[in-house]
Amino acid sequence: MAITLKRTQTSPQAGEALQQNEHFVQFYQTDEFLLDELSEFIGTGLDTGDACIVMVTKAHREQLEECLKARGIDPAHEEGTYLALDADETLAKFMGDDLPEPERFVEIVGGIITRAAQGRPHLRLYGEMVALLWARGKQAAAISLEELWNALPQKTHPFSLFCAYPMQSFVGKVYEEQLAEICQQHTQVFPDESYTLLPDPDEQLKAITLLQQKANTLEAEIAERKKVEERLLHLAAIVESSDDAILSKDLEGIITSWNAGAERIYGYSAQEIVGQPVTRIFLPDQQDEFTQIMTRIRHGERIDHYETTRVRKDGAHLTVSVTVSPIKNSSGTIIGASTIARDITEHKQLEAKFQRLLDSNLVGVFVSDFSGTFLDANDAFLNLLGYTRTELQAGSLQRDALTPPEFHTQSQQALTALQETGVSGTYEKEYRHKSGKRISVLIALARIGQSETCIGFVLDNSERKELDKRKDEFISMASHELKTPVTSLKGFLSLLQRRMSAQEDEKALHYLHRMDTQVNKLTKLINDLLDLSKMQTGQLAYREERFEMDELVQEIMENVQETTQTHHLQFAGLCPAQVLGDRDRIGQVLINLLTNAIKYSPQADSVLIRVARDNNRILVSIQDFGIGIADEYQHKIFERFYQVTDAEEKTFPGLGIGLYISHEIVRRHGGQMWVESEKGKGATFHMSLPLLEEEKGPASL
Amino acid sequence: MQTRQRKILVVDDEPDILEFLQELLELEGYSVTTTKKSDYLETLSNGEMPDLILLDVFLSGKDGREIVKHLKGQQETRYIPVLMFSAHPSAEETALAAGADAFLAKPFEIDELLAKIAHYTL
Repeated sequence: MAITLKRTQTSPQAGEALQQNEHFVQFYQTDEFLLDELSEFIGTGLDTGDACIVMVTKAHREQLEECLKARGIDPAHEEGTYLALDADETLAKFMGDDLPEPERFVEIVGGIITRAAQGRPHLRLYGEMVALLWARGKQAAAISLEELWNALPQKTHPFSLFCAYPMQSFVGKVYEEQLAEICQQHTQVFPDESYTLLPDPDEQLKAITLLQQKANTLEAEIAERKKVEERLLHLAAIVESSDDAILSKDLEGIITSWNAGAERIYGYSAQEIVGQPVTRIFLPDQQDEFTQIMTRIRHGERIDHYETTRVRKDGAHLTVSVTVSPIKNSSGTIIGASTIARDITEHKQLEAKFQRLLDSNLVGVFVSDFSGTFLDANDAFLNLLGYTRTELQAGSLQRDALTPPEFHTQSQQALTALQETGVSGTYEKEYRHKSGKRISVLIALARIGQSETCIGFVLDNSERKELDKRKDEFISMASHELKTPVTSLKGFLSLLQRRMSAQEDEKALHYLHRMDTQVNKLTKLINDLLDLSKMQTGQLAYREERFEMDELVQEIMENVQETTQTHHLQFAGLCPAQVLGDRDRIGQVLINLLTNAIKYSPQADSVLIRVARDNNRILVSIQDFGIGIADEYQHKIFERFYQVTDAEEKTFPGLGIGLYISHEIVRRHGGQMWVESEKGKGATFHMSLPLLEEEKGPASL
Repeated sequence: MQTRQRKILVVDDEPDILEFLQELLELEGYSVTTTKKSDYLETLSNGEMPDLILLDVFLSGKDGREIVKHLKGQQETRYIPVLMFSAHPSAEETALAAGADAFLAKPFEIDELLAKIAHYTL
């Protein structure tokens, strides 16, 4: 608060014997200050045996009595000496319509004073009735009441009267005269300061009045300025911290302010650009644009969010979104313009890239809502489905209507994934072309933000499907074309064998046997290649039947034993085990492992086979004592087309697909295949398959 | 004891296969008729019915499985064992389902073929 009325200025009367009939006024800012003064005034009176009357508001009465208690005076024990009356109630007793009624005032207030003053040397009186009237806007009544107070001592008993006005009641020029009037009503006005030195009381009063007035005006002005200043600081902080370029220019286009955002976006510092024409950031051919903007600004128009190009200090072109508004001075005249510009270059580039993606029509792109209405799509998508843009815009493209029923579940799953993770992953589905034919597509969806819409990318998959189909046909044909000659070869070989056998031509028979072995190898290679092709397209079919694994191992072992004279195949362990799967395919794996064991152990003469149970799995292990596999190759041997090529080793013939096929077959049976080996010390290939649950029936003996 | 000579009909569209099968099976003592015509069977009268039929699955112009289905549906031919073969091992299931008594994947072992034929012509 601006005016602090110093206690030393207000308290000379407090501790001293009072002159008769004093009437002084205290202007105050805060209740705290008033109560301090008031409790001093009343407290001193009670201490010296003066009668004390207060005519106050309820709140002030309570606060005053608290203050007195703090001074060691209990107002309750001062009966007869201390009298507290409610200001409002008392006022009501003598107020006329607009002004106080003098007779009733004398009657009522005079009566109180006369009664209270009996036997007392002096009377102290504090009243807030005048202040109440003032606060209620009854300035005339207040001044009239002041006059009545001044006249009262002559009619009753002499007393000292203390008035107080809250300072805020006088803020503003309109009260200047009234304030002077108030002051005139009082013998003392606080603060008095050095104006008491002025000889003429009128001069004194005038000086004090003016002082009060100045102080008040000043305070109000300071408060107002402070508010404005704070608001300006706040605005300045917003402007400075903005990512947008915020600048102002006068009507000639000369830049008058330039924020940090503008420095960043345009590359000029405020220091170098303020005072320069704003056209520095315009392209040379944009003079018209500048003129148009300024014309509209002069007409008081605001130009909202228009997109244009500006030039950075380094010459780079920017795409900006600009809003220009007129700036008016306090009298409302347009004196310039403020510009807020947002750099949307990146946004524009992104938009252009996305548009390019759409327009390129390399993939079908659409936007749809979750319920399945296509909201937008590019030509590639529309062409794929055979619809026109008009039909799209009419909302006639609906996912469910365009999707054959068997793909509806898949659409729902994609939607769920979209809601949970924001993307659907790529999946295959079919659409129904407008003509009714089905189109196989690859599709992927991505949710747009948190909206209930998504963007979809669609690739025509029918060509790949067609290729797949042709590949199948090719494999089928190749199978026939390769195997038929081999069948004939084997047939004629067999006939020759019979003939040679009859002629007892041992040499010829030996050659024929060798030929048959080679033809069998050829058959196996053809089968492996065909299996591989089918595996790649996931078309290798597996039968599901129960069979005895131990029996199969024995059978295959006998068959393979017949093909070798160099190795002896032996059991190192055998137990009964039932497995569910394709017996022929598992047999194929066993043949593969056994022939590999023989092939890669040319120096050895035996191969060990073990069939063992391990919890709920059956483990078949085939151990050889051959060249072994170095650590670094072990994880690669199950890969397609992989063959260990070691400079020091002699190479072994083969396509490198046997182990891949075996591994794949075992994997498809829910099993595993792995190898344990050390270079030069042979290898053990393990295959584990899930065991079939034992039949729950009568236990066989 | 002399047994009646068994008659075998071989249907395949590959002449080489027909040729070696004819010679081979005759060496084994069978009476062999070979044909490329898938409708050959329809031209046979009751008295000429073979004791066993070797039938390729994929014949030009006709699916062997349709033929076997027809044969097994006819009173006079339903008891003739039909042995099917094919270069497509995957055809085994459908061949057996169509009514074939046995299936052999091409290329087959001659011994295996002879064993099967012997089994069905006992």
